[in-house]
Amino acid sequence: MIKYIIKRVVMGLVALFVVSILTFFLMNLVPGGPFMSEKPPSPAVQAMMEEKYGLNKPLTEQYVTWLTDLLKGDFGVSYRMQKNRPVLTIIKEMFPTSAKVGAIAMGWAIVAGIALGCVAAYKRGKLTDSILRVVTTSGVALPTFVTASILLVVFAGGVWNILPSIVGTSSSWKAYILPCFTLGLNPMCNIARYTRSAMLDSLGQDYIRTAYAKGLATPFIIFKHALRNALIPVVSYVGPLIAGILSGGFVVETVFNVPGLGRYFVQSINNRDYPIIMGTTIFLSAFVIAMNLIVDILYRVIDPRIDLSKGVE
Amino acid sequence: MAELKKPPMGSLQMDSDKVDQLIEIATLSPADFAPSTEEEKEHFIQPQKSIGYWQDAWRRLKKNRVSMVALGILILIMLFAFVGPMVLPYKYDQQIRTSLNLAPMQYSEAEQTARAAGESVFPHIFGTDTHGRDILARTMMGTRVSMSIGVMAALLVLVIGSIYGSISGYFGGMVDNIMMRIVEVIYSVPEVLVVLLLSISLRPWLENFLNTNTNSAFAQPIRVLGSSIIAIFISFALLYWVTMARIIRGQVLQLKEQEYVTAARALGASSGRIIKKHLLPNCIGSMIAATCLQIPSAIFLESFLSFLGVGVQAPLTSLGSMCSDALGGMYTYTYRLIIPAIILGIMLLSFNLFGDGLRDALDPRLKK
Repeated sequence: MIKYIIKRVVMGLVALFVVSILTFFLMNLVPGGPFMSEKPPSPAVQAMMEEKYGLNKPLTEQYVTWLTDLLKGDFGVSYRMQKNRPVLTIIKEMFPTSAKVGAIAMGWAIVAGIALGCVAAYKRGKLTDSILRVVTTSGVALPTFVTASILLVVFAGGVWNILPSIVGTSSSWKAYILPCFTLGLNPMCNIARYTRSAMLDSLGQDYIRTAYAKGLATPFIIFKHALRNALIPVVSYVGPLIAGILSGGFVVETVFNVPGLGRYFVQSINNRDYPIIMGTTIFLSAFVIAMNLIVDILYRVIDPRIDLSKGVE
Repeated sequence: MAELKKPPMGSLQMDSDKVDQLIEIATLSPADFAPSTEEEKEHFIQPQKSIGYWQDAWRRLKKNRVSMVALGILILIMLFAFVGPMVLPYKYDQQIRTSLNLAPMQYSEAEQTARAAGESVFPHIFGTDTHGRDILARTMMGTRVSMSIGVMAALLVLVIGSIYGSISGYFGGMVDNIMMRIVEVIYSVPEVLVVLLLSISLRPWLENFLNTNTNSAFAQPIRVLGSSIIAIFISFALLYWVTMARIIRGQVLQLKEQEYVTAARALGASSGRIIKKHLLPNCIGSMIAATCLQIPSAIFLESFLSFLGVGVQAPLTSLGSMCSDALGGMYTYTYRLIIPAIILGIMLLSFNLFGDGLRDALDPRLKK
């Protein structure tokens, strides 16, 4: 167990290191430097700026400086969007909103996905199962921005005007319905599909027949005996789910104007505010990698049948 | 006497009359080598035709009704995207100043006067956009761009993944260990972030490259494709091949234990030849199925990037960037958003369903 955790932590750190190298050197591919604007500064001013930010040193030295600053918790300052504000402060300000929307979306996706998966497995081959299969397959295939824009048209102006289309800082809970629903839709469909096949697997096991033979009530068998064992493979999906919520977050926050980190990241891309792009990339990568690690370890704690000394398959 | 010749039960010695029979069989006359007559041939026809791998797979695929419908839809979409622009009189980047913001099937004043004069004017079936460009033509072009990017990126993934996976699986041991560690590291990199980063930082770099090396051999394809598409390809080449590599490696690990590989090695074939001639052709089923499932994920990524504004650049268009453009006037011109979104959705769904069916047909062992 300990060996496994150490291995995964090292792996995660290596991945993060790769991301940081990629990020840094990709940023430096960009010609012109970060101080280019409509009227370029005079060479003297530019030299001074470069001196100030250490941009006149060789790339590898710059990378080492950047990395040591990063390890000390210094993400640099914004060049453009919020001039000279530390990137870390901006992230701290923006991330809670994203996390809130993401957590609600994940919550409903897990609850509804498992419930629908159980229903589909129990009604296997019936009309309910077919309808659910059509819904979940389309939900998995459709990109988030397609569902987001269709929902926006239907519920926020086009057909009915019952929900607000944008989320402000002081919006009521109603404003969060559409973004959270959209963000959770794709993961929900995925979870429902996973749950269905896992439930079918576990409903065919001998202990289920034993439970029926003992005369237990059907709901009891489904929820206590079948679902508990079916949930184990579903848990392994939660790791990729977090990454999916993240990439969906960029789109959902852009479409619904949620003042979160995802939308800010997209804006910083369009504004070419490199320190923010770099800082956010590193921060979100670390977040996703850490979450994946925690989920994988938990998965192995939940299911003792998995041999920890063997690698991840 | 004859009984004496018979060996005891269980003896390894042969029955003498059986030996005689065998000798009789072994002495063949030239007549035995004569070609068979038609009559004899007819007796020899096998009761059932043998069915090859591809025929068998096709038969299984045909039985899967969902996949066949998906295949039909894909063919229709392909016709729409590749034949459609040839038939349509409007070009995707042609701006008609007199017909801005037309609703579907609406004619501009200039076109109405032309129609009144007896000329036949092709209708704008999906209307026109704010620059007076025909939306049907743009949708066709966008579908073509999205589809081509998807197919090309999937092929790129196929090439890199199968080379990497087969080398790792074939050599095994330390090589496999190191190569799979690399795969695991790439696997845990959150790819969306890196792809976004790549697409923004490569663009100015490529443009710079274009401006400095105008006549270089690489400049032409880059100019034709546009830097953002190149960035998508690079990100696929960097990050998305790992799943394919894992699939191929798993297959090669199984296949390399087969006798024909041992035989080939005994005959002195090099490792490269064994991989090329013996191992990879035998994984072709899972290679095709995995590639087909890679296409929708590439289209998905391209439309995601285009939607966020870092993908395909104007005047070229893709379904994702059309959706993104339409978002501004989505309440007034809802159809401009809905049309590309629905085509994209149907295309992704069909690719997924067809890919699933293809995987089941080509690799029946994988079926769950």
